[in-house]
Amino acid sequence: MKRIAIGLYAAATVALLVWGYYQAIFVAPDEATMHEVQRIFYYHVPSAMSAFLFFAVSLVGSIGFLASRRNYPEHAQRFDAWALAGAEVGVVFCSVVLVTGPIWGRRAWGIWWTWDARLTTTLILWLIYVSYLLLRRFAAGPQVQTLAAVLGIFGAIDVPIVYMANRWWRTQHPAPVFFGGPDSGIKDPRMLAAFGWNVLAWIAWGVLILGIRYYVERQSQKALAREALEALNQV
Amino acid sequence: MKNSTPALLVLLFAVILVAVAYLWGSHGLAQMDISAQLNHKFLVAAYVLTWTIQFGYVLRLFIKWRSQKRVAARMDRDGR
Repeated sequence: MKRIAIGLYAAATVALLVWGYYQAIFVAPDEATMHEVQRIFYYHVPSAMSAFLFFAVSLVGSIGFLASRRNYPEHAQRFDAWALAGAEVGVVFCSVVLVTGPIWGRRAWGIWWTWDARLTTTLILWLIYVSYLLLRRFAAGPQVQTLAAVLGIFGAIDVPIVYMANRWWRTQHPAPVFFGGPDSGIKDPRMLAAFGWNVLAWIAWGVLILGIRYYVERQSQKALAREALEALNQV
Repeated sequence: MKNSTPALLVLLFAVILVAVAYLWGSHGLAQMDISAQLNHKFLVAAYVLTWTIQFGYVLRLFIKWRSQKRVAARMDRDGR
């Protein structure tokens, strides 16, 4: 039953991605000044929103781990798996943002990159979570999970800074599309629909891969626990 | 054969992406001016790179999952 539900969810997610692509390429009109290249927006912004969401999952997992590691070790392992899965999926989405942004910027501004506040804080966010994943991958010892949880919380502090960067400072990056004042927002309903569908599709996709990553990590934790138990029994 | 399946999957995935990028990237270019051609190519590059990152990650997860299942099966077989 569970397998069927996951299969149906995966199929619905792929259908949403196809529909989102169709909306972005064939339904939404060309933007007046940037023309076709503006359609990168339909992948770039939903990916940024998804990255923030999954870094938030990592934050909750990290806090949960630190809060429960002494009294509820089994719960702590689950929280830790969510923290790792959230960080990894967040990095995937953040990588998409950092790849599609410069491609769009090259056509819109004539440059691949500039050290403005929004771009720089996004790069720092990505570097913090990449270092989190490197720590998880290469460090060993009983304190790795705790150190990673602290780093995960530290990294999440950068998320609101990235979000507010083009409100607090003058940036090359465009002004906020949403909640950015009276002139912000998408005026054309077809553009708004294409954007909405892509937000939905990429978040659904992210939730799917988050679930898979969580499952893989839980299996790995169980295998490690089993190995440790075997080793103890042999002593 | 069993061990080469992940490599074959990666190869298949790469071939499909390159084919999509080529076909979509060159579609209708003859009717466009230079600026529109560049816009089209940059758009294709952004979308194809997005899919490469996303589906590449899923492929990596799938390969990791398979190897984990193999290790678990070996532990069971060894009576551990």
